[in-house]
Amino acid sequence: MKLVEQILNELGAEDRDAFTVCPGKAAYFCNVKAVEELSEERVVLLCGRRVITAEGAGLSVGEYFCGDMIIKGDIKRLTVEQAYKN
Amino acid sequence: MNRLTKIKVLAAPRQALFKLARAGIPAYGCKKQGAFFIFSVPDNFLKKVFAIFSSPCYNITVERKSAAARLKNFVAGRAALMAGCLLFAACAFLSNIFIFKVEVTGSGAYLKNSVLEIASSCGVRRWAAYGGVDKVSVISRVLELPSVTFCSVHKSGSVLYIDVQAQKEEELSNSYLPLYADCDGTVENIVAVCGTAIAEKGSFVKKGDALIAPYSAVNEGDIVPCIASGYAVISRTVQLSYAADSESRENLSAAYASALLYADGEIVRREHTVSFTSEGVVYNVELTYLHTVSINFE
Repeated sequence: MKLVEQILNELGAEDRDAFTVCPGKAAYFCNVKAVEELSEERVVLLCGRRVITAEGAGLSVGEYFCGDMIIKGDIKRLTVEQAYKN
Repeated sequence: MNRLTKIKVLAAPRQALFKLARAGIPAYGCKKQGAFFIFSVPDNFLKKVFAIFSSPCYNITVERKSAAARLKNFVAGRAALMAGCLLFAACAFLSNIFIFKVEVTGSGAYLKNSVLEIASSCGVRRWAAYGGVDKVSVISRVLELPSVTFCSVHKSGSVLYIDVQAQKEEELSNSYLPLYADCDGTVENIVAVCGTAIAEKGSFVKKGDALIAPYSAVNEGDIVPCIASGYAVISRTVQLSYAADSESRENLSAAYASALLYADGEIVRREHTVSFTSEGVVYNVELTYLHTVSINFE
């Protein structure tokens, strides 16, 4: 974890901006403000000003508490977009 | 134990998760199933969840109670059964602690009264705790009884068994008997491990003669009774006849073979004579063999 912290520091990012994906099993997200969409094939999360879309198979929310979320299932594609307010 | 209650609510995941997050309720295993949203929450948040989704537009049900809640309900619904089980377990535990019966077993059971008296003085009595029994003391004192050769104390359930093995009275009296010759013959060797050898080596003895006496001579003239132990080797001669149709080497071998049936020890001499009869021949075999007789000696 020290290596991850060092990388984040060098990139000028914070822990809460990062997420961890374990291919084929689960993914961990921080600072999740809302869940826009939840289905077995697609999960859309609103994390601060970013919209993270996870696509795959057999997706479900393993745990969601205090902005921390674990998504279980086989995540095959992950998209990060900037959210714009109308 | 799992303390999560599974809930099924007719709501959009987005809306339901938003409400849960806003109320600070942790959600587990969230997934969409048709129009329903299924999630699990800890038992202590159950009332709060129902309060959040109390509006009539939400159709909320408990899909599966937590293992802890199910166990609690099971126990609560069968209070009498549980009380009975607990009572039984308590009785079984208590009965294992106390002694309800004392049994004296083994060949020394006829010493029951003496054994029970000793046991009682060592703390073994009905309704007494097994922990207070001084087993070593009981065993050592029972072994002091005459003719007791073995003693053990063990508990099975609520019964304390004292196993006493005693030397049989017959064996006891026999052991104080002398060694008698069980046949006529010449004493070839005599060994008295305990007791006194009466017969001398080379002397001729008859059946029933004492060979080893059950006493020892101490100092001069003093006799101390003891168990006779030892053995004597007696040279015994037997004669027997064997009839055959004719005189031949095979018939002679058969005659000697039939004589072997009588010998139970080493053969030291064998001779034969042949007499002729109208129906054939008769072999007269004379056999001398060493016969061993012993008492309290393996």
